[in-house]
Amino acid sequence: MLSDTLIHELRNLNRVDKLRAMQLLVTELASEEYNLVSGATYELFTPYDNEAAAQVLYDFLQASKKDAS
Amino acid sequence: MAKFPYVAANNQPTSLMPRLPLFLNLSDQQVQVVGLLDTGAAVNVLPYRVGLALSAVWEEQTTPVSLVGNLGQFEARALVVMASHPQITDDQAVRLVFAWTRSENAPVLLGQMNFFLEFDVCFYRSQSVFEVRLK
Repeated sequence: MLSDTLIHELRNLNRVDKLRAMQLLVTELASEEYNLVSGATYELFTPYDNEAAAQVLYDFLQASKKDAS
Repeated sequence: MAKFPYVAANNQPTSLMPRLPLFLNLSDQQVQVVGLLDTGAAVNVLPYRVGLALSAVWEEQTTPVSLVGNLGQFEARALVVMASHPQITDDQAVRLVFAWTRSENAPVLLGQMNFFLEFDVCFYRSQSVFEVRLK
């Protein structure tokens, strides 16, 4: 739990140390479970709910099988 | 069924994912890839560099595929390759169809069309293993 003492000490830090403290906390959050940080942007490659693409590939595969036989 | 361990992308236990090593063949070219078993992916995805390693020629692939999400910004084309794994397919290679994307950063994704139509998979995440067999 964040104590008033700690908050007071953080507020008394100079600008450079405040930034270092922030950076330290952000880095720690990033290494925690799921590696997610609020406000950050992550790449999601999964083509979820992409049935149109699946249909195109299905048709292409069937044509490929027909050509091969 | 062949059993495989979940593999970490880095040293963190939370990054364990079902990643399956596979041989892909096209004409006389063969490459070994590690594909992510992605049950949420509607299609298989092949990154550009892997297609090139298989000697696929982009200009010769004429069937466009429109992907969604982060991959939606990249052009993709349909490509059929033969896939095999000594513990799963024996000598019988399986025809897999991929959305070959111009993205260099995309992982190899093994999705519903058509990896999961060709292979039966059981996930045991609590034990950090998964099993795969030919349908």
